[in-house]
Amino acid sequence: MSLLRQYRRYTAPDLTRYRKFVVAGRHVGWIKPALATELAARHGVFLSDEQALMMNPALADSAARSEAMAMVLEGLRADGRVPGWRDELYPVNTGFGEAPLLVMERAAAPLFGIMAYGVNLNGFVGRGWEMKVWVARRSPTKSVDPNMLDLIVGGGQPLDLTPAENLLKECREEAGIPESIAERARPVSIVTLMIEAGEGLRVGQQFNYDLDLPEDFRPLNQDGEVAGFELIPVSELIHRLRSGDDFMYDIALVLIDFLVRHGFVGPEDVDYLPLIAGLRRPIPFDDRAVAP
Amino acid sequence: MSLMDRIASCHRHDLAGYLPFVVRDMQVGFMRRDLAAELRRFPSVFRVAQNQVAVADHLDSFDYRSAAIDSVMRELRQDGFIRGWRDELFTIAAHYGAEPLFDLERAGVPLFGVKAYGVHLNGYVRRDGEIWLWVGRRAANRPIEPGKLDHLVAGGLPSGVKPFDNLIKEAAEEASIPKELARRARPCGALSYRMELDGCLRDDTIFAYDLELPADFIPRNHDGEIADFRLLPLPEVERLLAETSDFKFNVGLVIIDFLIRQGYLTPERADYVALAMGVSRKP
Repeated sequence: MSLLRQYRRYTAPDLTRYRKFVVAGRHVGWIKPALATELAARHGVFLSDEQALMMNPALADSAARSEAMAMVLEGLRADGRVPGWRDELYPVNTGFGEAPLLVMERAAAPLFGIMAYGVNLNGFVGRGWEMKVWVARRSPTKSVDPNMLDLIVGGGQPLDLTPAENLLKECREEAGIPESIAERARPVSIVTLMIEAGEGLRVGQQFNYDLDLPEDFRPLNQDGEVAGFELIPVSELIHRLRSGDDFMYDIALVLIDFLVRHGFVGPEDVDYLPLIAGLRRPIPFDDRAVAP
Repeated sequence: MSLMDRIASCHRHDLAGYLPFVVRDMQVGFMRRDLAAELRRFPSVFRVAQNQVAVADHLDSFDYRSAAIDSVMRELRQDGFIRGWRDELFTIAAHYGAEPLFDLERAGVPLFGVKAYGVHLNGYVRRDGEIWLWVGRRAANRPIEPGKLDHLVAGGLPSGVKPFDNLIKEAAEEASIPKELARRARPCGALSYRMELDGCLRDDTIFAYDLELPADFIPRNHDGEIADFRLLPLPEVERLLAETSDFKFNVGLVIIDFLIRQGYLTPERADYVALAMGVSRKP
């Protein structure tokens, strides 16, 4: 089976079934009409029309918008409508590193279809077809994709760290990789994703790193989010990606990118160009300023 | 100027200047309007309409189309309309790996604005943990981009040749890389761009390969296409790309992708995402 099966696990979201989420005249996300209508009743915080839910321009700066959003989300949380609450704040913008238009609880990102940034680590040993890749089985208690296969290290990108700093932190927490080894990781690529998932739209842009691990390294999870680790030969990895949905969707993208960059998949594969084209699709934010 | 400018220049085009070129109801190219006008002289081969140019339907096989179009090409060459004849055939298809529709003399590829493919090699060495990139300077008599900096090995993909086989052949001809060494090159991605160059639309995809070379390897050119080679540290490669137009028009795209994959460019750079998305941009 073709590796393209991974891209077919989710149909492309029909964005006409969403309304734009607009902040300070900028299109920053997508929200389901029912939720938009409900939130539009909160006159102090949102304004709404057929196309968009807008934050009230009277909320003039990031601090005011963040405070108002926090109040709205607390209400939704109390009703049990923000599963997997993290107490972690994500920036809302349309490009990494841009000043946030507001910050909001990470678990609510899909409800508003805002861009979520993250870091991933491809941890491997060996060279060529002898290469083996470390993967993790997610804990059954995770709110997103319990029990699925994941990378050895990966995590959301918090506000107060650079991607490189975040990677070191996640390496320590998720796999017990000491800083002396983790700092050898090098940034290699990004992937983007946009899928419909339960409560809304998951929009993501992830920074990927490669780390050539020592043969005798054994990962050790520190934060309880991992059920176990496995060292998979690269040929077995390709087989699993071709034949099943063992891996989280975004992780499958990161692994296909890894296989392409390391030459395990080449132009001889008839799907080579579509495979590459699927890794970094632009997120279709509407750049034209939207009137508040 | 900046690295982003190198990427943007590979995507600069205005399709209004071209007519869709159609084979069997599939658009396979963007034809220059002056070529379309010339092709009115060959109604048994090309149907030239206001809004498109199509290959005549009665040419219903690869061989018929190839032969008929080749005869037109040779006539246009005699008239002086087509210059820089290469005697090299490119296979034309709707997309890579799709059913071949016809073979076209390489000199006609930009005029028809059909998809073309090539291979480029990032040939590099490591010195004290730092990467140095081998760069060639194109000979002064090259028809395209004479004197510009180029990859150690690069070439168009002729019909019926696999990308890797073509890379091995070009590696021997262009840089005297022995077969055993060249075979260690590994594919690392593909880059597509659509740009206007000399009044033609180039709709190209480059299959990129990486090859780490021994520190004592010295390339030598055999086919006269490269004037000389130089080994440059990555900061100098970056400076040349960002501040000059010394590199051939499409080489920067492939090298910026290399700089990203090697971790030389990092997410802490303000333009990292723009660069990473830019090299992957679909035409």
